[in-house]
Amino acid sequence: MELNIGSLLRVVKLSAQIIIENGGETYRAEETIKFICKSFKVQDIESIATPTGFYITISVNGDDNNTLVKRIRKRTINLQKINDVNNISRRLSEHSVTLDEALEELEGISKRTDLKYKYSILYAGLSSAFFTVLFGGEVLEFFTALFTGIIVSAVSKRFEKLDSYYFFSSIFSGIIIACIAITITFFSKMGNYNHIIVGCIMPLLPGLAMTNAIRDTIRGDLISGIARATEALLVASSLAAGVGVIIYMAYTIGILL
Amino acid sequence: MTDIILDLIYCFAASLFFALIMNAPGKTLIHTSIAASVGYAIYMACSTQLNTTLGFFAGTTFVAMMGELSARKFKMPATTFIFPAVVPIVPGLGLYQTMLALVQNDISSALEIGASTILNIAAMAIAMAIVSVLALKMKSRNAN
Repeated sequence: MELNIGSLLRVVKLSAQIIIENGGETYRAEETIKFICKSFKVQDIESIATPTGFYITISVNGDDNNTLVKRIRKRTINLQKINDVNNISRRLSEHSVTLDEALEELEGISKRTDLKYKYSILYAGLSSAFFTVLFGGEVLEFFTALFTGIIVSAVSKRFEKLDSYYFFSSIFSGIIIACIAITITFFSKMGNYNHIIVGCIMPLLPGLAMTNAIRDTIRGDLISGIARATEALLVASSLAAGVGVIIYMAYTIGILL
Repeated sequence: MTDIILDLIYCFAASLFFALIMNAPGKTLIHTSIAASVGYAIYMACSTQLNTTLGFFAGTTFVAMMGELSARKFKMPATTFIFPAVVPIVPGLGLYQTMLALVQNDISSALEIGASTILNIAAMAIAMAIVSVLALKMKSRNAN
């Protein structure tokens, strides 16, 4: 069977792209590329993946090189998609699907939106609410955090198309959380705004970026490790800055003592 | 005692919904949430009885180990399991308190809390690193 280099490259590109865009480790992207190419008896495979893009060069017969560069601009987190790509690469290597079928499936995965908007904001609210009670909140704090979590998630979804998505969404999330928490506890004269703020911050903290930074660094992918660590630092510090600005203003006005 | 059980239930629910936002595959949800609650219990027990940093280390080690084991069992990436389960342990409270002390112009306690928060994050990082190195060793032995 003649190997179609064009569709092999497209399959490899799309699978690496989906893995990096949805929060997979970069070594997973590189290994998936290698895994798929090896199963088609490609002689030379070189790939470098970073969180902001990847380069692949493959040489099927050892003479001609095919190179592909892909820049990655948007990164979200979707564990289901990473898992699906994992399954497809496994099936490809067993040759239980052809390249064209795999390409079709990958395109479907890359386009699909898994979680409905209303559910995703509801889950975000519930998660914040339960973190709030875990940190010592009561009934009022629970419902405030539920409301805040929903608003924050809805607002940060609006920022998704922006280039500096991380910075804006984190700083505005911080501002919104602190505003709502302080206003409600001030006017109701009950509850503790600290619990609400901490509970709402928890789901927004860059846990995945941190986990991946460590896992990448341990593997020797130093560039990816540093890139992820920078991302984690940026998100955490802009969240803290957003909350801090509002609390500072509340102190200045005299709402908080 | 009821407080502890209630905390574990809250922790379970919080990580369950967190995993749902991150769109974790359906059959992993219960596994991750249980690992998260048990990890949180270990973290609480160690940090109240022994030492806070040790608590972060022990809790993360448990979660990461459970993640690697479940990854083998389900044949799925280990991050799918580790990431939602580790979230309750991440020192968000320390980060917030550091920021609060800075805003209140209390530099010395900001430095104190900030340093211990960084230390706790480092403890989590080391725990995760150790477990993933061990997992790599296991994998390469299986491959041979």
